[in-house]
Amino acid sequence: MKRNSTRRLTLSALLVAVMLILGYIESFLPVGGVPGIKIGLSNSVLLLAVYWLGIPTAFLLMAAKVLLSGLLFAGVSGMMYALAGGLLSMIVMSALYKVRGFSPVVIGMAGAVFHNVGQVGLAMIILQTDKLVYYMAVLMLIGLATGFTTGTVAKLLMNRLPEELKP
Amino acid sequence: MNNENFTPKEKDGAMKKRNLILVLALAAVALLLLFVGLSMRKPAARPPEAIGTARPVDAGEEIVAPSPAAVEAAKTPPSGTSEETAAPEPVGGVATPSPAAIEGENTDPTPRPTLYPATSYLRISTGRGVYAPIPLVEDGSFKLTQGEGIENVIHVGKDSFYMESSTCDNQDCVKQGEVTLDNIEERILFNMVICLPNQVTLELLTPEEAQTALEDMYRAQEAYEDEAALAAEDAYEAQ
Repeated sequence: MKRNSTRRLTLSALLVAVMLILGYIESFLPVGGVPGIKIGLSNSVLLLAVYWLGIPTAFLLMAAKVLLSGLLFAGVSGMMYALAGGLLSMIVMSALYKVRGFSPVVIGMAGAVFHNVGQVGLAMIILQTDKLVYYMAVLMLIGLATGFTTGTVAKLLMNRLPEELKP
Repeated sequence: MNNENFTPKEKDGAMKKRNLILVLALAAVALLLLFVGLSMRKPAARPPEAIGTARPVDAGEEIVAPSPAAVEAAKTPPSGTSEETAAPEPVGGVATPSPAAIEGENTDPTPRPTLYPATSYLRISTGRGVYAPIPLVEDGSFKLTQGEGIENVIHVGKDSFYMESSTCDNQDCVKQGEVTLDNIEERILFNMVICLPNQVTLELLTPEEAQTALEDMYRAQEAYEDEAALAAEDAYEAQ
């Protein structure tokens, strides 16, 4: 793990920067008229981080992304929801990665689904309403689709990125 | 290529199966929740006529003062102040909510609550409490202020409303568009418009739902006042 810490640090910083930019660009890409939906391209990056940098680092990257994009774009309340989604999604993705035998595409799908579950779940807790169940279900189905996209992107990245990048 | 995550050939079949099972399980849970959500949303049976006629209301009767039903939320009064366009008179009455929960200054709660007759109502909930259902009878806008630059402007019309503007970052609530009696079924959020950053939930209620909501509020209010009275007695004794 500690084999090449400068490389690891550089790659981590690079990935956080990439996530911030993707997150910003994404906010201009509406997905199918459903309020509050994004493709979640950061998910690809985090998945890559899980595979290349390990689970603890991937959690740190997620926290850094949430904090920075919260300060830069989303505001404090946005940060809260992003953190809820990010944490749940990272927990699920890490668990599936640990179990092994799951394809990165499927891990990405599960991550996206649970990202949405975390966000709507927090909203349900804060707003004290159970009426968002339907919305959550819709977001889960959408998460399957967006997760397929981001998981595929992550898989392609893992195969295509130059070996030298890998720590 | 990554090392341990690419299983040997002979395991490929098992792996594919695993992946498929996980995806199917996720989809199944989502579909289940979809049905749960759909069944929770009772089809809004449109009343043939205004329910108000079923419960005669004196012309001059005042609309019940909205009371923060979220009881402990009484620190600061929800200061929704009616302004902008002359809000329709029922809205005006409701939009200056008395923080009744604070001093228990609400009138005697014995008379059963009655709503101004209308075919639909708007219920506003914020992080600080719930407002009494506002009858949706004519056009108007009003501002809901929650202090420190947290403002939502709500436009109401006959049997419809939408979020006109909001001080939040993402403006999702504005993008969620209009809710009318007719489009509830097609909307993902059904009868709701939600502004997460400002913690504002707007709901379109049928007269029956509004009546239930109001009675629930009264019950919460009474429970709160009983508690407040006890607390006040304690405070006097302490002095």
